[in-house]
Amino acid sequence: MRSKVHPKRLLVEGREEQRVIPELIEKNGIEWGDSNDSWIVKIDEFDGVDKLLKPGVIEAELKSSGLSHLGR
Amino acid sequence: MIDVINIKGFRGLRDFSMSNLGRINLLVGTNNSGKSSVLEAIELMSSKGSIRPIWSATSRRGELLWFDDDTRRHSEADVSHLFYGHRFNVGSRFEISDSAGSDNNHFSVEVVSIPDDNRDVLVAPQSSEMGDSLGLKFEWTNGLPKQSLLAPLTPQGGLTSRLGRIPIDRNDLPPIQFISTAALLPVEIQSLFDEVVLTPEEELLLEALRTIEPDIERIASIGSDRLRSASGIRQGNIVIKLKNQKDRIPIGSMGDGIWRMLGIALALVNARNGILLVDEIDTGLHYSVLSKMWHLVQSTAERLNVQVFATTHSRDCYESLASISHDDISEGSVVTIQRIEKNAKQAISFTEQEIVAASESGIEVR
Repeated sequence: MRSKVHPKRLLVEGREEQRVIPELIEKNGIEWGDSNDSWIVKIDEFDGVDKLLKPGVIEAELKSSGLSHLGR
Repeated sequence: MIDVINIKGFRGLRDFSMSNLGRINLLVGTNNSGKSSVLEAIELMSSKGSIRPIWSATSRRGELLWFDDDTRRHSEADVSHLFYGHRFNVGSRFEISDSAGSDNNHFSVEVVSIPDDNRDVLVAPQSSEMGDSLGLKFEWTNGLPKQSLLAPLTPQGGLTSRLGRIPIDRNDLPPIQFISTAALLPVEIQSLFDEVVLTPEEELLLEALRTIEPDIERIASIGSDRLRSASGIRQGNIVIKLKNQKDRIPIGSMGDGIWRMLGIALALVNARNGILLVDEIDTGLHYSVLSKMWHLVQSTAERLNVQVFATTHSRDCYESLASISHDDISEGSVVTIQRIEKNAKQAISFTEQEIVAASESGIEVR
């Protein structure tokens, strides 16, 4: 269950990507933020590529409420 | 079945449409986004010129004008709230249709000046010190030539309850059941129950009630006003028999969830070949029974050819809808979620596949 709706979301395969991507962003001089509200993007992990690529997932994500940006 | 609905100028919906509709449609959205208005629009369109739904809708919302005269206090429906912007003039109109771009099923209401010699007027217009009499012109089609009806407004701009009670004889009207957020009244339950007693559908009522209380064995109406008048409780005339209990129990003793479930089941079986509209369908129901409720609604709606439109604010309610949704939508979606956003022209429609994905991944659809 996701804790809060964030307008900018990035969908990734697993926890490794969820952990590494913020590090890479900060290494490139972009401030990540220190709370859910201030993160520049919320990263949601799917516990495997099969779940991420399951039919209907990206379509439902694109229609989710409060969304302004979506990446996968 | 309705597969597309277009609404213009009705309540807060200036120009709105909802498409890809299925047999079971759950409407979600923030407060005041227009979910209940969509239910009312469907009821109005499907009632084709009957004034009763207008009276019902305005009464439910408390949109009444009250007047005292010498003998009594009486009320009129304040129809101004039916029009976009809460006001109307001659020429103001709203329209509702159920297909894209054609006149397959079309209903409109327009404010007009009533000519003195109009023969279609339901009740003679009252004279007004303000000038011409105003009326509401109802027009509708149903694959037939356009039909119309003129209903006069009072000098205050209201619609009298007298008009709402006029029976309009049209056999082509589908049965429509509307359950508001408030519980059904005893008289409504009794009337619906009478239609079901000793029919095969009576078993469905028990099945519905057992989703909440598995020990229920029988349900009956005692057909007497004695309990009602003595106790004052609203559900006094419907009783149930529990397993291993000797005495019958008033259904009101069992909590609001049972009453709500009974209302849904009764409305469903009385909407055969028609439409069931339920505002906040999960009201009074614990999250753990919602999946069972959806299974019951879906199987009965399929069997009796009922199209269902319901609203909710609850995550549990829309996530439990996934239990009757399928990944394979090659033959179209039987179940849909429609998100209504304030001032948006089009509802966001979720297919069964997307409902399953949203439920599994915790995607926010509201």
